[in-house]
Amino acid sequence: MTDTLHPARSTEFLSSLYDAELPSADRAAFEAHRSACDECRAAADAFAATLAAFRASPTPPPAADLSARILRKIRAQSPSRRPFGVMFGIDVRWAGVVVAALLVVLISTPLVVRRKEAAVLPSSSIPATILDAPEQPAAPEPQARNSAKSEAARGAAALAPAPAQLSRDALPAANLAEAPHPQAASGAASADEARRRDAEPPRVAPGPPMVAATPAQLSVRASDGNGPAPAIVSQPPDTRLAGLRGLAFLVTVDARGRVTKVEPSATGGLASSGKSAPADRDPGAGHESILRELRFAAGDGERRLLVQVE
Amino acid sequence: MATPPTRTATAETGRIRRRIVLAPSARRDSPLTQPERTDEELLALARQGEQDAFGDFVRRHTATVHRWMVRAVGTEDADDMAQEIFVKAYRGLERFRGDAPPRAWLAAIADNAVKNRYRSRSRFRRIFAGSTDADPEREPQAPGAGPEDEARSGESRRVVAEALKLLPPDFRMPVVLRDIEEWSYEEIAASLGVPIGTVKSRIARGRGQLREILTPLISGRLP
Repeated sequence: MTDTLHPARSTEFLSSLYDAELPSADRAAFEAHRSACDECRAAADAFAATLAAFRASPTPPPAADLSARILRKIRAQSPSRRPFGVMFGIDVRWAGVVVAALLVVLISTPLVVRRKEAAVLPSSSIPATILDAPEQPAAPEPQARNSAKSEAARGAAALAPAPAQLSRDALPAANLAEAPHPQAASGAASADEARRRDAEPPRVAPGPPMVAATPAQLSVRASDGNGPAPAIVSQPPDTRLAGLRGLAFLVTVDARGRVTKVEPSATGGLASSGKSAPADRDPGAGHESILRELRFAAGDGERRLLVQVE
Repeated sequence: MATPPTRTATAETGRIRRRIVLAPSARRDSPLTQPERTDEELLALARQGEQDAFGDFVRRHTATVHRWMVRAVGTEDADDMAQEIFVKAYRGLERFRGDAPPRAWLAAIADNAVKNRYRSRSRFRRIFAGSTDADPEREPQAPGAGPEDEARSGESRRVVAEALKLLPPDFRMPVVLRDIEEWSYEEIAASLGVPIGTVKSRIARGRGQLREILTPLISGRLP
């Protein structure tokens, strides 16, 4: 509490006076009183002088190596701080990245292996195996061949864009004939190869020898009701007949034993399997030329025969 | 390079104001610190595990904390106390949320360190009676005999500078922050986490005790 008679007896009053925080009226009143009161004047002066001396007294600077000593002590006494996410010496953020990478590897490895296995198998092996296995008539041969062909065609198309398009894109029109673009040439070659594969009879895959070694056999029955079918005098080589395995044809033979007409068997030719010449196996021109190489024994007149290739 | 402190005297009170004017780039104790980083940035980096950042913070504030401790506990113990304060600051980095300036955070740590130091010493004295350490809880005694001789000696100057260590621990950091560092009452109250009225009371009482201690020494004899 401030002594109203001698306010300087209060340290709170002197402290406020020193800090210039007294209201101006109080301050003016004290200044008036101070000039007349020796005690208050001495107390205020002593207070100010004491604090002034205290504030002005020099403070020795720290030793030059104090910071270094502090840091050494921190390192010695404090466990090394670990940044956020570090537990047990492992930065879980990086651990998360590593785990994610491992998951990706684990998931993708079987896919890559499968793709590699598919790439290692020859592209013609699956269809060839199917095509060259006529002993398994229940196999979905036409569909397999169809899909194989369409895959091959897609692959050829992907590898070899249309030559004309490549030519337009890559070469001046004047140079097309003399200098086909390498890509166009390779594309054309790939397309030609695909077409050749389609035209040629399927090659025998390096599969089981019993399948490849079996020669194609012809079965001939009379379909005109004029007696037994004439005997075969000569026939195309097995390599050519192999392409017709599983098919049946109606063949017209003249009196000299020559094939004059070849038609796909409309009645299902192969009665045992119920198969007829599929459309994608071109029972027309290609097959007709093969079957026209057949020679039968001469007879009395024209005959109609059902020829099955097995 | 730090600009030397300038002193101005106000005519009305005779109070010597010590203004330390530092250029922004000179607020460092070491040229190795990176001037573009504020205290807050350094502490944020230190919290992320960068010890170099906390090293910069220590170098930047070593002189300040040492100055506080020379006043609060004396020259002999100032180094140890400064080390203790920075170790506590390092250990308490997670608790620094940036609500107050880093220097206010350091001042709070220093205030607690000073109080704890004398609390533990009081317990020690109670157990081992006869300790000759100065008891800050006792009424302060004017130091020294033959004040005229001592007042003009370096020892007397040291006594004036360290007179605060004879005060109760609760009074020391408030007086240091107000009369040495020239913080406002509001800053001190926010830093130490006590009401502003309490701060004013502690400072007034501390100043009163300083006057009792120092008046015999400085009554017209100190320059």
